[in-house]
Amino acid sequence: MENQIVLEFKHVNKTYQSGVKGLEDINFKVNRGEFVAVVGLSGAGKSTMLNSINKMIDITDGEVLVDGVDISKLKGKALRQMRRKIGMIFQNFNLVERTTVQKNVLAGRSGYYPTWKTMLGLYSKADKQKAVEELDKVNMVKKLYRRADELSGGQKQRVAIARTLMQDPTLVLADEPVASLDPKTSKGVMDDLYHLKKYENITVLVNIHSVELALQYADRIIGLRDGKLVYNKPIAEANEADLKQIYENGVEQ
Amino acid sequence: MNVPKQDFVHRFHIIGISIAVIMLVLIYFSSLVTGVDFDTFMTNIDQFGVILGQMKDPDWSYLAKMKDPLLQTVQMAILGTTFGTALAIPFSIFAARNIVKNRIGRGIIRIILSLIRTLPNLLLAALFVAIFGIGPMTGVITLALFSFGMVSKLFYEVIETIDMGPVRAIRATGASMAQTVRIAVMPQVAGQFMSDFLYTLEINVRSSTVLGYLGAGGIGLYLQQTLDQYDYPRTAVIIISIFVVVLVIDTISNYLRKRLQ
Repeated sequence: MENQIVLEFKHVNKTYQSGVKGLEDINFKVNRGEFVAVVGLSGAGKSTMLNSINKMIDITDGEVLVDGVDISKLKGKALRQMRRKIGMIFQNFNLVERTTVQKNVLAGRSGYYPTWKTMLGLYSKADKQKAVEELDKVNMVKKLYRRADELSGGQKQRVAIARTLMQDPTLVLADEPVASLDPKTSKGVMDDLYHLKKYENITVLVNIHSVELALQYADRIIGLRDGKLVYNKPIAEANEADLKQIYENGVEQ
Repeated sequence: MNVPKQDFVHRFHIIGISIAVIMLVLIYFSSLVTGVDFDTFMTNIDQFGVILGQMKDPDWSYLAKMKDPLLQTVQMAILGTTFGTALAIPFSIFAARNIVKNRIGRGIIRIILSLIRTLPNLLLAALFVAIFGIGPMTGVITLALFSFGMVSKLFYEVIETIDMGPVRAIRATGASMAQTVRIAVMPQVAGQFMSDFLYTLEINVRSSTVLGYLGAGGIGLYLQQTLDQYDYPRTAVIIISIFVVVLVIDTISNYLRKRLQ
């Protein structure tokens, strides 16, 4: 299990229809159980890169290997089964606001259900139990039957993490998960993400603006600038001056 | 002091006056072509008073006979609206720009929907009386198709305003598009759908009262009979009872729609 590669980018390019280069020849590997922070300016391609890992965005060429399978070539059912293994956390939480916390969390399991059961809103007893357990991990069981729009930002993000855990993911992608939260709440959510790695051996990739948080939580830091990978170092070798440079050089241009 | 001068066109309101003159000319010629004659209107206006005079003593004994047709009218409206709305849900999903990316498929569905909307419900009723014969069944089918056309447009416009964040999130968990619509779209639109349904029901209760005129069931049949027999005291009872029923349905519907917001 040691150093098993969960994610690998091979010569990945993304050119948008407008002709703008989103990603340019990206290459890197991520091992099982690693916590990777992706840093860079807005528009550097962090979000594009993250969204290409579960094929929410199509890449132009190259390979994105998840557990050795090139997800960029998958379609239909095979793609959906692959997506079950990849959780995703968003800056805006993206909960279904007008429904309960329980239903939001159970929705994370829908990839495992046939369509007709979802239509009728049927979930197994085991999964209802699992929803409670996953909510307990983020300390949100008490809100089980509350509507999602009654929760604070930090609470919503925790529910989103529980929803992701319902998928039994091997990899979790978090796109600016704390950018809309205050510093104290941010720390709580980052701790929850860190626990995914620590207790569940889930690989975590986090796009993050805060260099401070990146240094505090990550095992490795990847830097993007103008769609190119400009930095890729384990935390032991990374220092704040390097990271500052990723941002500052971008500003000069 | 140097006051800026307005130009000629603005100073004398040339545009506004021109539009008013053109409108008057157009109205005059329209009335010539269609044969609308103000004199006829004035000479016949006293008939209004005559009929109203005959209506002032409604034949209240007739009221008991009105209970069943009135109930039937409301039942037709409820059934028609329900069937039409149920059918509109899948169609509106396929017509929504943010759900169906395939332009051609969406375009075909939208064309079908707008074709249905061009048909007024009286025309539909006349058509269906010819096909299905006289009776409340025809009224239900007419109202169902009419509501379907109207509600599906209201619905897809609602769907196009939803927050797409949850849709992306559920899609990313590995859910199919149908599952995603059920989980992430439906809760966002259900309240507005319900409100649109009630609004359509109000319209249908009103229009189902005249559908009977064409033989499509309900109270309209009695309205036609009494008018044909110049039995105005009974017509008065029918009109008053329709008025009360529509008022009650509108009040209930308005109350529910307020609560939904």
